[in-house]
Amino acid sequence: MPFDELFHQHLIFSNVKCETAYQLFEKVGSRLYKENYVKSSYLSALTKREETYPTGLSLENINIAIPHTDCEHISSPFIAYASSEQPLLVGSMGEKNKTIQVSHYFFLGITESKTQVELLQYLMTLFTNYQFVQGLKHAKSEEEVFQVIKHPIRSEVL
Amino acid sequence: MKRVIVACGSGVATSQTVASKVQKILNQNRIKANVEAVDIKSLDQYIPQSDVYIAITKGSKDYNIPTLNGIAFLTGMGMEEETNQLISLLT
Repeated sequence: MPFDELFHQHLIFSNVKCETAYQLFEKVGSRLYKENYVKSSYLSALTKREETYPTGLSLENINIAIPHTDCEHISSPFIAYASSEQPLLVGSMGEKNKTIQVSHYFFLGITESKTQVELLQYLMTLFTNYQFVQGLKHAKSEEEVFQVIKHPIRSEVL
Repeated sequence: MKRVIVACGSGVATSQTVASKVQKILNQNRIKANVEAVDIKSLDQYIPQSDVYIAITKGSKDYNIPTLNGIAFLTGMGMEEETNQLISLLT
C-alpha cells in the first residue's frame, strides 16, 4: 500500500487549542475510536507508551512527534496528523528526562509490522525535506495540510 | 567480523530503520560489519558479543562497549559526528 493512502482528510486536525500533549492525544484518540480505526484500549496504551518511550524528534527545520502504540490496539491502519495552536512539551526520543516543544504530530496506526520500517523511512524522508516541512508549517487548514501530505514533491522525496 | 547492534523498544521499528541506514553508510565506506537490530529486552545477551551499541531508547543502564546515539541516524541531526565515531571504532 502506498503510504500516502494511510492519510485521510477527516484524520487531520489543524491548530488544535490545547494545553498539554495529553489533551491533544485525547482529541485525536476519540475521533479515531469513533471512526473505528482503533480499539477502546488505544488512548491509554498510547499515553503509557509515550511516557515510557517518548517520540519527540528534533529535526533540522522542525520538531515532530510520532505517537504510536502496539498493533493490537489498532483496528484499521491509518496515519493521523494534528498540529497544536501552541507548541506543547513532549519527551525527546532516546534522551533521558529531556522535553522538546512540538507543534506537529503524526499518529502512526500500523497493523503490519513488516511495513513499519519502510513507513518510518518514508516519513523521515518527508520530515527532512525542506519543501515538505515549509508546506506543513504554512498550511492553514485541514485541506491544505492534506494536499501537502498527499502531494509531497515526488521527484525529490520518492 | 565486527558486530554493531541497534536497540529500541518501539513498535514502529525504529531500530530496524536505523540499522538499515547504518549498514548503508558502512557499505558506502567499504567497511565490513554486521549491523543487527535487537529488542531492548534481549540487549543484555547481545552486548558481550558486540563491538558497538547504537542506542535509541533511553536506557537506565550503561554498557561497557562504545555506545553511539541512534537518533542522529534517524533524524540526520549530528549524524556526521556519529558516523565518524562509528567508522573509527570499526577500523
